[in-house]
Amino acid sequence: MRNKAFFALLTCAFVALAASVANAQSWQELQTSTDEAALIQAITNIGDAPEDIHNGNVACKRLAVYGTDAAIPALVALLPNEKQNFNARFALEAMPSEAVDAALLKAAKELKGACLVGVIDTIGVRGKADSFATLKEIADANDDPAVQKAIYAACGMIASPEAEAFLVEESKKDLGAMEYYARKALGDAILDVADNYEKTGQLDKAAALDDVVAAAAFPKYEKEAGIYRSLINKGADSAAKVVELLQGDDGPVSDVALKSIREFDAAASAKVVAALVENFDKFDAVRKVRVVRAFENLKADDAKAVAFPKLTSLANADDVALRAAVAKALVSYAGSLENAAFTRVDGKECNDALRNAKIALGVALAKAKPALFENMQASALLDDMDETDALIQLKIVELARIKSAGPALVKIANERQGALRDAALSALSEIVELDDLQLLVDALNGETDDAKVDWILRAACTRLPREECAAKVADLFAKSDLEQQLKILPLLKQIGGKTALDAVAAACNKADTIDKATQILGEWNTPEDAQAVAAICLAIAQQSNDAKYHSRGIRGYVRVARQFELPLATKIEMCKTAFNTARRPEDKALIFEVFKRLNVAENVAAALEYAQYPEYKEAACEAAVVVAEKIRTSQPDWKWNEKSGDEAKDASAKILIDGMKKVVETTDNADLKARAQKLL
Amino acid sequence: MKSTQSRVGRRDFLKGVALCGVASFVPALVPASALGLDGTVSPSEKINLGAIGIGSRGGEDFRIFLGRNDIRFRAICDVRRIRREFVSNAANEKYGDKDCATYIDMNELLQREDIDAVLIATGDRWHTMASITAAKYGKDVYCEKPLSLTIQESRALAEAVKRYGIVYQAGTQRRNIGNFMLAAEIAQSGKLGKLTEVHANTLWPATDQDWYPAEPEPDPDEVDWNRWLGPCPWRPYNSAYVRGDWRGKFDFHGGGILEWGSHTVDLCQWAAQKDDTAPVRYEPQFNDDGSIAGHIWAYYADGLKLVMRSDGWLGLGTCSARYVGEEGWVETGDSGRMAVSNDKLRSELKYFGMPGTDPSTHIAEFCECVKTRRNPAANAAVAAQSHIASHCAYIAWQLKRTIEFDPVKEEFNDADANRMRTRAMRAPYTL
Repeated sequence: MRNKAFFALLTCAFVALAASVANAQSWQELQTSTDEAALIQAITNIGDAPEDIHNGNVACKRLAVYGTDAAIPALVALLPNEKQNFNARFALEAMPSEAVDAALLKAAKELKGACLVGVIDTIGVRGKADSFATLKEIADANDDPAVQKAIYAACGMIASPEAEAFLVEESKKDLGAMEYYARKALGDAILDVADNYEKTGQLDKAAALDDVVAAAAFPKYEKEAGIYRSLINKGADSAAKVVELLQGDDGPVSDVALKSIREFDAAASAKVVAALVENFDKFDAVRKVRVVRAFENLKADDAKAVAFPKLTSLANADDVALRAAVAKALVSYAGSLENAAFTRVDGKECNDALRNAKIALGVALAKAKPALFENMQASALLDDMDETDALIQLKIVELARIKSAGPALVKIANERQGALRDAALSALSEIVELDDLQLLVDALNGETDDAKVDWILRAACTRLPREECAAKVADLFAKSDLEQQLKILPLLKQIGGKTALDAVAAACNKADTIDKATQILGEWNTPEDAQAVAAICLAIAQQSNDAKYHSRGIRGYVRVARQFELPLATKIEMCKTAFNTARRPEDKALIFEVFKRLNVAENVAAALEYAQYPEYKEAACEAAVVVAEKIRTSQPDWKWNEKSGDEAKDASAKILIDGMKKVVETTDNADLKARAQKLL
Repeated sequence: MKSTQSRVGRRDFLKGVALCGVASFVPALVPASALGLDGTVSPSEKINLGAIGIGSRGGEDFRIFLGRNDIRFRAICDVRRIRREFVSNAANEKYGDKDCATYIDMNELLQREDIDAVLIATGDRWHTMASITAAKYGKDVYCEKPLSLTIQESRALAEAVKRYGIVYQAGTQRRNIGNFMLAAEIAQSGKLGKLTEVHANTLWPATDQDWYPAEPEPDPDEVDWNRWLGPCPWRPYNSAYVRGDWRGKFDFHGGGILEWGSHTVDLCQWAAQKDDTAPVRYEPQFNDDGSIAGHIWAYYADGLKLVMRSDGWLGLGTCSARYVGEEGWVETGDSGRMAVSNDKLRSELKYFGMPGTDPSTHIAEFCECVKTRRNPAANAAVAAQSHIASHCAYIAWQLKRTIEFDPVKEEFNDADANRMRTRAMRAPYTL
């Protein structure tokens, strides 16, 4: 007997050991596995130690995608384990098999607490109508509010007739006695079912359920949602109700009515807008403004046609806030307006909202009816208006790019000071043509605010034909004094292209401009100039006897290799050139930053060529390891040691292996060595 | 679902242009109040704001919200004590009182009836759950991108926003930044001819399953680790996650396509007027050696090609986008600079001094929409579609094969891909 018991014990220990060996697959191995048997094995007999949860988590994520019915028993076995319950649900929730539904329902009858709540959630997400009976059974036998809440939510998602009837019946209970979150969940669940009807076009059924929520003692937020959806689902029949709510004292409910105005379908929208127009005078001042704002961006033409006469009739309302709202609303009706009178405003009463609205409306008008803005005269802008109105007009000219205003702008810029002059210059920058660029430059003459000059010139040069504009600016540069030249150099960078670059290159050869010009060169950012910028930088590095500019040339050259899109071979060659040209060790070392950014195997070999120089050995090894690590991280399932059948891929793998071996042999840095070994 | 903001409205574009110059010189025509920085605001126009999860990017949003005259910042919810204190101190200092309340549980903040809207800037894992929860409390939401980690989350969010009638703005601010608006307008205007390709700047797609070593779990008042994890699977605490090193982890992050695609795929969908759909075919690209590349090519039903790629850009800044037509192309990025294929298109350009990372005009639009109940530019319906496109691309990349997608049914022709549309949530969290 003793021997038998001993052998039985030994057998158990062996089985346990075998299971533990089988379970020994780590999450790293599991994360790319599609072997269902191995994944099932990984979650069989696991506990809830952190490493078990980690392995279970990864295995279940894989089973979520690749699991079949064979995995169900092992997954269901995890459901009573609070720490593994989630992992099992992650897989089960995604698996389409009906056997999963049956298994979940069976499990739900035996679970309690958080594990049960989780499973009910999963049953809800899966949304099978057959699940309702079991949920009802659990509901009847359970008074835990968390379970109650989960069952309501699940019934809302299932949305079967039985589930709907159950939820409506529950809403007839004494809701005040129900736990707050359960009550909230019940209201949300009924709205879920209503949404389901909406999606299938059964709006009357949806509205009926919305009304249930609106009428019962649910939390205010559910009630408001019920009112809101009911208004929309009842369509044109809601017109009177919208008017009524907008006259009520309940601000949030009034907001609900406002929000609904834009959401009605075309037919309903026209009727609701008509009711609002008819009853407009019944609303208080704040809601009048809000109703007008709701007329912005109405979708249906019929509704817009009803709103438009009302808006125009309010254009001269006494209330400034209302007038601002009208101006803003009229932006989307600009094509229907006959004149620009709405853009006029008395500066004394002008607030920011009105000013912005007038600008927006003016711009819309200028685009829709350009004839209204032809032949703008400076005298009209200056003599007939107060300054506020003139500033508004100038902003409209700028934003709508009204070219006919050019002479007026020049006159204002030359004759006025302060805000009017600034506004005129800003507008001029948006309309000036290439041939008249000098006009803008002349108008800026004497301006002491560099930021202003910079902005205005950039605004003009951004949109003018590039090479021709660059030629003009280069010409201006040549004719300017040193102070002006230093200001113009950044503008050339902004313009970019060959002509601008040539001008900057020339400035690099002059003693008084080389400092700024080389700085600009180092920031050049038009990609098509990359090779040319590199050539100029290299020439500076090679030819300059001044250590500062030599170094700046090298840095500019390496920056091109680092930042711009160039072929890999070109970048590697540029690194070689930079390394050989640089005089200071810190400049030579810049090339390793280029290597670190190139995420390809060949680059590992290229970087390690520099390991032959003792002073750069560690930097070269580090760059190689960084690149190899990036490749490993980005392609975790690529086994470098295994033949893939793809020649190019296998060649890359060999480069990586050889490179990491070389790092291990070469580096004195223990950390780098360990990282390289890990990659092997 | 039909979008409401498919075209760049002329008015919207000009609004963006008008506001863009404020960071540098521009004549003093655009009042600071256009950005909510000055001027007077009537009490009825004040927005009472709360925030949920404020880290580094959220801090930038918070600073801009706090600087606005039409915002009264009321409360902060964060699972980290240090962040709760930082934000509440900043708000209290601004208002000269001690009224900014602090919470660990977002439900407590959201139940406050005096709060109109919330800024959500948690880690990505919480974005959908927090946004939907806020919607269920009737709060308007400005949420940092990405709005979701799965196709299912994207749709659930769009539906919740629709159901509760809230104003939702995804933190994809480039829809309100001048150079991106102008590029989209050029593409939509037909000046490029018929659009043939749109290109989105994306990052290397991969995520990993790695865990950091366990560290002792702090007191929940210091860092509530269970809440930090929220709907995500449990793992042991490590302070690196809380400091922000959760990116690239599958459980918390949607990968490099979504990281920038939430911006740039969104820009492409917008420029191509595809805000109400998504590509129907996704083709991962491979290197010459057979290894998978980071690029994905996708195609819309009408043949338009969407190229998601990390390299080959003109250097106009991060999050670049390029629109190619039969008669020309335009490219732009976060530097504010733009490049075009010819001088005719160049005449359309403007100079923009505002970086693409600046959310101030986007926040300004959100505040405007909260007051007027208008749908903002990056509303949930359009953002959901561009996120779905990004998720589809990542699924194709993970499977390493071409897949086809039905944007109406939101189903793939591939059984494995269909299983990747959703991720279970840890109880008691559910959408």
